[in-house]
Amino acid sequence: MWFVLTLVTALIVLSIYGAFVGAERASELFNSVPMQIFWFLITIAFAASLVLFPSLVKRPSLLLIHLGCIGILAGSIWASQTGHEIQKKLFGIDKVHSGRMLVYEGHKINKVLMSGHEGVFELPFALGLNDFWMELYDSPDADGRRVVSDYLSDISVIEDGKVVKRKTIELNKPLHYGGYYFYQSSFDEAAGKYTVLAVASDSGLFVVFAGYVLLVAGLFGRCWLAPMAKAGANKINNGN
Amino acid sequence: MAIKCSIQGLLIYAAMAAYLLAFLTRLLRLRKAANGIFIAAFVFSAGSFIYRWLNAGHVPMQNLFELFITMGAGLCVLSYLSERLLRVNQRAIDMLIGAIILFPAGFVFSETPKQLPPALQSPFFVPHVGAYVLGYIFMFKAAVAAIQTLTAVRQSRTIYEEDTYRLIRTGFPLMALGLVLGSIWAQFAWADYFGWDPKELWSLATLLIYVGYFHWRVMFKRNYPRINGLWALGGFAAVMITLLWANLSRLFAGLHSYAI
Repeated sequence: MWFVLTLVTALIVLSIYGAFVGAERASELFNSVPMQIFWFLITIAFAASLVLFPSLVKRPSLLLIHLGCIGILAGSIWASQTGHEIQKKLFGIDKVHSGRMLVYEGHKINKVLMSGHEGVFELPFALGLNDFWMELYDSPDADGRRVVSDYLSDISVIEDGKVVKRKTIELNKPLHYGGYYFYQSSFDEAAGKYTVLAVASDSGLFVVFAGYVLLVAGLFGRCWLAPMAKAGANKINNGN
Repeated sequence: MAIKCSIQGLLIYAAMAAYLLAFLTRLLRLRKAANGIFIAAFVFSAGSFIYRWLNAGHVPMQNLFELFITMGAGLCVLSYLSERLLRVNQRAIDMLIGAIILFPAGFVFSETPKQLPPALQSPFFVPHVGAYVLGYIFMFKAAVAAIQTLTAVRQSRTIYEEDTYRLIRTGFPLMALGLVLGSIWAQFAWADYFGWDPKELWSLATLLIYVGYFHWRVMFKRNYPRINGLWALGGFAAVMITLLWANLSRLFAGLHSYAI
């Protein structure tokens, strides 16, 4: 248990340090090689805890909480840049981790400008931009300006020369296709001729989200339902 | 620091005055009268919440002004629920906290409503912020119980320690839910489920301090109630930093720094 407290304390200190250095440097720090080893060891420690502390397995809610954490950590490792490199080496799954795409109106393109380092990745399908536009609020803001309410790109997915999917991408509504998410990210401010989409691989995401569900379900079970059940049982006992 | 003469401002001041008056009446041991005024505080704070909602055209959770209004209204409800469901009675102190929570809305932050920027128009907006608002109120109350643990005489320490535990136990899943919802939302809006943004890291640190509290309490039970209390206060300090400092200070500029 002292070991658990030490790990938790280390993570608290690291998070606070990360908050002071800003998102960019924090992201570098938490994705650095020593941290990758640290994340991996924490995941192992979680798995080991299930063996070392039988009560974690006996109580379903505690099991859910800790399994959830394992899912989040393992999924994150799988979803990371390094995770993508490992997938390529071990399983030959060649996917770009993240990047940006510049799509001109009336043109199609399958090239992703990879983030982190210079390079172009070619997707097995292409995206075409049918139209890009902005929407404004009908009524002006308190200081009299009309504020942008949304940015939208009407996108077609083209595979083997055929349009296989068409969707209007807007903020908070990305396109999901072929193992990737495509997001409205930026646009041609001068002439409105192109849109910029952020591209992100969906590998490992499902595991992370499944981990979230287990974690939250376990927490509410442990912290809300269990005490309620106990109180209910006490009431019945007292009644008798 | 400005006084608001609008209906919105008057509702806030009425709620603050009612909270304070309820507290003072309670100090004079006029329990019934205090409870009546506390109900008035609920009516006024709920009124300011609903008025803001109608006036701004969205659930008031966009910036710190709206958050403090929402918390001021939520406090009465959670104070009552804590008494009924958790058997934690802090009504007298909650009356005082209500006035303190509404103070920044009444005197510090601007009330000019703003339209929701595109990034905030999402079905995740209300659940994400809502879970945090409720979780934070429980953590405020837990911090009060923790201070009581630290200052109480030996005999009553365990009672306050148990209060602290029950409140944290109730608030913690809400905070975890808030973080998880925010993370899923970020995946759909910013292409990443965790951006290592200062506010995200502070809220992760906050959650981890309470994780530390739970594991410590499993290890040592109630053997050292005051150390348990210190964990709770450490968590509360992190809550305050996440809620205020991470938004207001340029030191932590990032994705969440719109909220002033």
